[in-house]
Amino acid sequence: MKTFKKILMILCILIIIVGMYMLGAKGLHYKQGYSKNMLIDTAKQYTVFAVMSTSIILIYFVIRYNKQGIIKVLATSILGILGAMILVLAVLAISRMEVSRFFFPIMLTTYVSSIIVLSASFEEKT
Amino acid sequence: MKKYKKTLTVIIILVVAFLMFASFFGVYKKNKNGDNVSLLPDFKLGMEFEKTRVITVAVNQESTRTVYDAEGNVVEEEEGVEYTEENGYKIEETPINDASLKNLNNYNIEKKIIEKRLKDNKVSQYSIDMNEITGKIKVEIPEDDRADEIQNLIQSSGGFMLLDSSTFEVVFSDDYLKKAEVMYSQGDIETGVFLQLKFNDEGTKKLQELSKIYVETEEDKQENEVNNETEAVNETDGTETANENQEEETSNEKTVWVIVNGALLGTTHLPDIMYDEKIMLTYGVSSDREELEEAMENANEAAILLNSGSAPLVYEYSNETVESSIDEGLVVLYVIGIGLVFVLAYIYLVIKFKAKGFITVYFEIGYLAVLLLILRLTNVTLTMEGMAGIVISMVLEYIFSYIVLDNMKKDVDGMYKKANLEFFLYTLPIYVIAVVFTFAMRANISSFGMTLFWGIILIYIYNFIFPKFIFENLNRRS
Repeated sequence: MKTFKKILMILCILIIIVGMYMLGAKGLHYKQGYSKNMLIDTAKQYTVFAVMSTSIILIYFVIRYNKQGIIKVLATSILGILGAMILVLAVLAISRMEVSRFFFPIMLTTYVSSIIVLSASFEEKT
Repeated sequence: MKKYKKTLTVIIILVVAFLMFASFFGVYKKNKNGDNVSLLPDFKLGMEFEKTRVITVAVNQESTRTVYDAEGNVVEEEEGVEYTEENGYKIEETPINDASLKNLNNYNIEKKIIEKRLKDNKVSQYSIDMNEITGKIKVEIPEDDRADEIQNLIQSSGGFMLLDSSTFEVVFSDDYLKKAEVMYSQGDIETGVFLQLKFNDEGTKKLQELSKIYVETEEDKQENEVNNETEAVNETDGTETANENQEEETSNEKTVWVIVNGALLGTTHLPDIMYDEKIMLTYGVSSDREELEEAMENANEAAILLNSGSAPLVYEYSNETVESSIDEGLVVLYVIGIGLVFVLAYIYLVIKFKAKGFITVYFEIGYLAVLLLILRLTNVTLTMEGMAGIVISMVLEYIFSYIVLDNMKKDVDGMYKKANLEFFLYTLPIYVIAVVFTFAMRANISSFGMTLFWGIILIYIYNFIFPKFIFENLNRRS
């Protein structure tokens, strides 16, 4: 199981590296009628709420799982959430999937899923 | 006792079946005309699923043409005359928007003005796209009964000016404006609606100076008194002397024209509209509710326009109604994809937990039906993000059911309580997201929060009312 996890992790890191390279070189592929400006504007609207909820969740994680080490919990949580989002972004960049109104629902689902996985993983270790 | 349990089990299954039927197929009643009328409210869909109005705000590229004669005088163009340089005329084309003003900074100012107007007017669904090269802005809003009002708000020019009524010179403008607010004053009989304009220090100082100039003088007062007396006499005499006197008085008066958002509100002496270094403009004084509501609406619109500032460029507006901007094919593809994942997950439940797994799948579908019913009844706007919220709620319900089934294998007593606690600890952070996102003003963000919020609440209530009894019963049997 540990080996499988390691392979999965390496695979994810590879996807992220390739995806980020593709993102830098070609950017995202936008659907007609949807632009980079719209994406950035919508992302800005989400920022306040995402930052607020993530901060509260991180505080909760630190308080509840402090026995697992505050820095470890914080680092795992931040890397887990950001890693999942970047991974999806990388997949979008590699697959050249059109970025449209579906982008934020996908990112939100990823965000929530990453938190459920983190929470379950911390809970199991308690 | 056994019979009672059996009856209750059948009732629960039937009630869930009824809810599924009601949610997926609707509940209809025949009206007097024999038409089927739905008893349930329709889903309130986000603007991506409905018709939208696209307002195009483009930088005016036109020029004004001025013709000068050989002596340099401006000539008014007449039909049939050729105004060419060969005929001794000089033609000057002046662009309405100077080329130096057409830059990204000014385009962004206009975009921010539009955004502020939409936000202040509590428009929850819109999208703005700006071309950074041409400055063309596309605003998409739902094509509903508010569309005209919103479009009007976008197109209106905001501004406040005080003009000298004799020279027409601008003596004060919104350059000093700090904030415009709608104020109410409740009297014994009537209520007043005012637009209060606060200015910065420089503006306040200038206003104080102006209030000494544009004031009713003693001379005016005396003239007014004389006029009033003459009017009273003339009323009986029937002569026109009062009008002559009034004309004379007007020429002596120092008054200002109050212009708000391009409309002349009236002529006045400055101290008459000044209160505590602020300007108070009356929009309505009445005891009639409808009149007051209209006054409030007007004052509020004026405040929104003033607070958003004035555009540095002149724009042209056009609009069109477009059908749903969402790619239906892609929606179907996503629904099939997500549906397939759930089908696989349910098959796994059936294989792993046999009959109990099959019952769980039944209640999972029941959960989706009840969640959709609640979203209809609570009037939650369903956007794409809201759909994501529904999918996540379904996943959470699956997790809950899985924990229950897993616990059923291990324990007998307190199985449900344990499952509840375990689920609560696993998903507690999601409640934070649901609550925080619910407070967003934008419908796409709040829709996600609201669907998730109802989804989580429903997991506890639904599972407590329906599957709990059946699972506990099954557990005792086995």
